Amino acid sequence: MSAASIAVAALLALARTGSETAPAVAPDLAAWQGGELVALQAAEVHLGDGTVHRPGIVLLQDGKVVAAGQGLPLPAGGRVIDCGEAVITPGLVDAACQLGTTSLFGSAEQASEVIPHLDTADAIDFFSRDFIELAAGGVTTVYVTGEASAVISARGAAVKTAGPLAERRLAAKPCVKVTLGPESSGRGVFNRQPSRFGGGASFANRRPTTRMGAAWVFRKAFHDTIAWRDSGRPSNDGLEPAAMAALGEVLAGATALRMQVREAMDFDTTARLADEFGLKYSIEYGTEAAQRLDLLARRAVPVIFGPVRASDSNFESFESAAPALETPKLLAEKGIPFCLTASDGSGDGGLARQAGLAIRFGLDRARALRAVTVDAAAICGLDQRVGRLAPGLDADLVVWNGAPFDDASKPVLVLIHGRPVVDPQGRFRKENS
Amino acid sequence: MVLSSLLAPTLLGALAVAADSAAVRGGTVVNPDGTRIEKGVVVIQDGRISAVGGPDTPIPGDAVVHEAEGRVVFPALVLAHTQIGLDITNENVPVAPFVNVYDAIEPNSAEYEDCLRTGIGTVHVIQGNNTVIGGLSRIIRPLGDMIDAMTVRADAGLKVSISPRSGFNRMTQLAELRRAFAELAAHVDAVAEKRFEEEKKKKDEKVLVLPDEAARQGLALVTIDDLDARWRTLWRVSKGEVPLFVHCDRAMDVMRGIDWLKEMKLLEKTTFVVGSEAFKAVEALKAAGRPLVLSGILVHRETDPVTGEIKETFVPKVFADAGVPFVLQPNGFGFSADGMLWYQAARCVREGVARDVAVKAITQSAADAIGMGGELGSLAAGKWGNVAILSGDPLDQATFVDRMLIEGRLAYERATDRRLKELTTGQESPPAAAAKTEAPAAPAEAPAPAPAGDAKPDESKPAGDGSGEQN
Repeated sequence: MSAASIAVAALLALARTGSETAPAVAPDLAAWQGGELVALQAAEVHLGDGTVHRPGIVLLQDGKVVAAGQGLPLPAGGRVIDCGEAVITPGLVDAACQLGTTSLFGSAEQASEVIPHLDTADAIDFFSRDFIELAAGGVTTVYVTGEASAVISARGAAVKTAGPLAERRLAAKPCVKVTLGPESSGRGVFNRQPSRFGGGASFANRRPTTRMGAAWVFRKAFHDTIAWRDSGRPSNDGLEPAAMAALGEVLAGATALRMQVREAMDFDTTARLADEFGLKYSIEYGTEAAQRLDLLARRAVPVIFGPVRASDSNFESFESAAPALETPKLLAEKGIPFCLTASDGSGDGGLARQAGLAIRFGLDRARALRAVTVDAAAICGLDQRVGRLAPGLDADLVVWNGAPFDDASKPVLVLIHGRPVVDPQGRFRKENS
Repeated sequence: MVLSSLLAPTLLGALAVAADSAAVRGGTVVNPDGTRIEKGVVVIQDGRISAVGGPDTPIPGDAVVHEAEGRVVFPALVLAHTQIGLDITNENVPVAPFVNVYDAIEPNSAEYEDCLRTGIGTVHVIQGNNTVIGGLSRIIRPLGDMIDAMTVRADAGLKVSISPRSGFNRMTQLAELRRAFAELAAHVDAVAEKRFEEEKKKKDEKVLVLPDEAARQGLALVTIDDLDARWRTLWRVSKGEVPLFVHCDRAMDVMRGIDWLKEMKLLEKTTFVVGSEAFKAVEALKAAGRPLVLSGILVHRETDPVTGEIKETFVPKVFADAGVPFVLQPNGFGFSADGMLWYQAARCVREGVARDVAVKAITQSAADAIGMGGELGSLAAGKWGNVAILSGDPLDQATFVDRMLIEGRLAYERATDRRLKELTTGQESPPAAAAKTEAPAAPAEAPAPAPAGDAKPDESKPAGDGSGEQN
């Protein structure tokens, strides 16, 4: 028997009570080998599908969950980590993250309004501090969404927030993002040409400048794609064949379509455009979703809702759309598939806080957990990989020092691929960045 | 005879306070120090708490009783340092002790409404930190539309900043501060000398004294009305009549601030308002032993210039570990995020600060910092009847303020909070709910429009009839 029992519990207790006593045994995280069988015990284990075990055990090996539940046999010769009174949940998943790329704001693609053939993955900085902040907040997987300054933007990319580089990128279902709101036109001013050419944004170098114009760019792109697909006619609007090929995938349903929508009227425009081309879509942000619940329910449109912020005005979007604070609860009641996003927020503005706010405004706790784990993974087509603690899924999990998403709790240990990336004092471990 | 003479004043007393008797009954009475009374009773008479106790506590027969079954009864929070309600927070003149927030508070600010909604019963409105010597502050109830009626305490403090205001460096900041007090001294001397001469003339004395001696002897004759209006506030400050709120953004400012305050003999009148980096001066602040208001930014981040590594410090934990009481401010001011005092306290607990310390930081310690520790900050006999009736535990994020009593009177009720309802549901909730709910049905029942060829002026409808809203 060489089972090494590690008293993470002592540290968790320290974090919880603020007691001054030093832990008797420091957890030997450095010696944690990827290949060995590890068991985590805790007072509560949430599997992510709604099941809760009190107490519970999670068995991990080779970066995957081997088993999770109650009364599982502890590994002989493996490592047992007793998390004491702590609570274990799956790692959180943000389905519409805007962090991790190099300076999103003002880095819009200048060449075209229609860039579905480009890949956000090529702009992700895996060494960005954003990922450290996300991991420390318990977010283990993010879908980095396309930038909003193009009408039909790039495909997003799913990545882990920490771990060896080779394992960071995940294969999400390809998904193209469309922005009909004023970001695609309003952000044009940040997209101006060099001052020696006049500087400003105008119809000559940047369009559209209105919602109508954005909708037209969308229509024209799909019309051109259909003509190119059916008769090989090149786009008279300068669309590259690669872009039209990518849109052809959207028409065929092989690539998903995500519409960034904040204001109520854009929900309607989105529905009309989708009908014109027979497209299925999901909604990103959905700020005023509470005003279009019936539309969303009738069409079973998945909504990636959030973020809810202190201020009503939204600087980035130039929109004044304000969310009804109980939107998550209303979406749940209407049976609309949804998850929550913190967008560009981390730390106290991060995903756990969004879940906490959803709970404050009426969403039940179990559903709030799903909305930042399995349901978010499902919307990105990642639910066979992350979002639950189930055999064969990635061993991404968060140990909380109290009820998850409570204002007074925080993650004290975060595992990605079965390796600790945030230690029990909430410190990010350098070998992971 | 004896009996009646004893009874009479008692009865009269009871009648006099009849209109202002209130009681909160049936809830769990929780105090910041952690003490709890199940099914407790809080009795408020004439705006002050007269009794706090168990279910058997007698309630005056004429008291307005607020049932709090299943609720948590908690002292209303104190916002010890804020600029809410001021449109512009700093005067452009570096030394402006002659201004007063009294002249700038907008009683109808939405933030005051949010105060009640988030459990705050007392607000200390003081100008911002971007100054050398700022104006007079005021403690108010966030309730009402006339500043005089809202006022709890006028001239509650004066802002002084040791950290440089914009355009100044630390040396010019301190020089300006010293010059202001030197000018005050010169002005007071001149006035004293003049008063001495006047007094002498009155008595028709012919004794010659040197100007310095005249100023010294005349000082006792000087009243505030003799002074130039610009210097009156600062004179009161120098005499210790107005408390100071001294802003020290960084640890280095704390040292200089304490030195200057000692030199001016004003340390005992000071509440420190510090930035996030000032935690490094924790020992000096502890030794000073004065109230301490922390910045709303609770996490201090510092980047190593060589390695680029970012070091984070949770500031309240440093003070808690050193046993220094502190006061929390919201970060900005808002209803749904860390603009809430409750959330700031919960963050402290999350990071390992003892719960009672975190809770006191938004109640008792905050009341102490504004010099009202004896009146506010906990539920105890003799204190003011500022009570928050909560739907649950104070630090639980699902908890809402159910009702607020300010000095015994109902000031807020969640059940009738239309704005909260709108923020929550996204639906407007007009007062005349019945009239509006019928409106959407009208178009469906309206007759189909007449064919174009048959068009004629519709005389059955008055012009501009409001499209069916009258139906």
